[in-house]
Amino acid sequence: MKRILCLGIIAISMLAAAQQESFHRAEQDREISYWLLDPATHQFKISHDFTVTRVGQKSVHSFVRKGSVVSPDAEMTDLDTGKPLKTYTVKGKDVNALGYYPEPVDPESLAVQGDLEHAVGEGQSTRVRVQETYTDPVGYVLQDGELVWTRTLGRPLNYVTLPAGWMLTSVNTPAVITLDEEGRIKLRFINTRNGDLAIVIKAKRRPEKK
Amino acid sequence: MNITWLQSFSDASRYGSAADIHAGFKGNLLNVVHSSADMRFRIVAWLLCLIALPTWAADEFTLYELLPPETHQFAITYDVTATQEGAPFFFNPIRPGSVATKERVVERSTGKELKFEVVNGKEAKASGLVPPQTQDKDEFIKVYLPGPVPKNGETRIRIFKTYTDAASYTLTDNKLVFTRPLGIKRNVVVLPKGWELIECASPGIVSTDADGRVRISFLNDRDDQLPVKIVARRLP
Repeated sequence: MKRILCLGIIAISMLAAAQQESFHRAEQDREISYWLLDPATHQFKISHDFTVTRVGQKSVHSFVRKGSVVSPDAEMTDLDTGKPLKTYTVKGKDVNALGYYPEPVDPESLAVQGDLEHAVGEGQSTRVRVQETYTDPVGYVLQDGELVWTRTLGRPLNYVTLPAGWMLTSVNTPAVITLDEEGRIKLRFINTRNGDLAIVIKAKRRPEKK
Repeated sequence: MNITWLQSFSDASRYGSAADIHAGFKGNLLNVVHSSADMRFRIVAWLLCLIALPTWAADEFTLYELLPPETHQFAITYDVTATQEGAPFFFNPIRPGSVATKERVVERSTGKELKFEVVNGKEAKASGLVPPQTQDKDEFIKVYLPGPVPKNGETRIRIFKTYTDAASYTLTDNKLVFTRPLGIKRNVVVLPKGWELIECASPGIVSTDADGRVRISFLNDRDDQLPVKIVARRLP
């Protein structure tokens, strides 16, 4: 009985710790931008920023979602210095072996790894930008002449820019909408909850001038 | 006061616009030049009324159907529920600054037209159905309910009107601009046909109606007003 009680207390403590870690969205500084390319290619560019604070961490990772393929042109930049990081693809089991992240990933999954110039020291942090091109024939398709982009967004701040010449026809989640400097439709999603936003965006080609 | 009887109820497909129930029902009553200070005062008073309204009203929803921006007009459909037991009337504050035409009020359970008139704040206060801080010169739409609001029940009404408001709905640099603080919780704005949404300053869900018009919806989770600004451009 004592053992069960003890295990229960440990489980509750772990749950509480996990919740504490992600509880305050406003304290998270992860943000991401997506630029949708021609939907016939199923490709979109991604740029996401995050801050590493774990003392002793020597490398950072961008995890490739199942179903997506990341192009070999991935780049990582140390935003504190502006210098590029040495970047290459590793397997999930290699990342798990580092012990940097609270949850292990699928050992056979892929991640883009960037090596920091030096390990994060006590009281230090490093801000990193990752830029990648994804191909996702399931999440980004052309259906009946409409571009359809489906994706869950886990960060507090998320931007999605439509390809040039495409006009928004629907979005299922509240978004702020603007034009970017190139005249493309840009949507901003702020996720105030700790869960994911399940986004579906549809667009169609803007009619040509007669 | 000029009592207006409403006419045929034929446009049930339109949903209402809301927080707006506010700009004059009787265009000629509202088409008055006010000093800017006076207008500011009236708007603040109107906002105070809105804040107090939930005591007597519920389930509010407004639909704004934007007409060609050159006209500065938009059709409003406003749904609201009277909840105060025994109340024979429903008072809806009129937003200063707009001119209203094509007004109609219906009871939603029966679809029947309801009688209404525009009254001032003094008269509305005398009913005990509006907040005591209401100013005497405020304006309200006084809706005659088909009977007192029943105990443990409510009376659902829909108000239709078309507003002309050159301040909040304009054509600027050939772009449609609709700027309006929305006080109620559920709101939908529909663009005119042939216009593309290119800016939306408050988070909205977007869809396209069967007739090609773009529909944007807003849920206001704030205690105050949601600042809505929509910009659209004409399609070729």
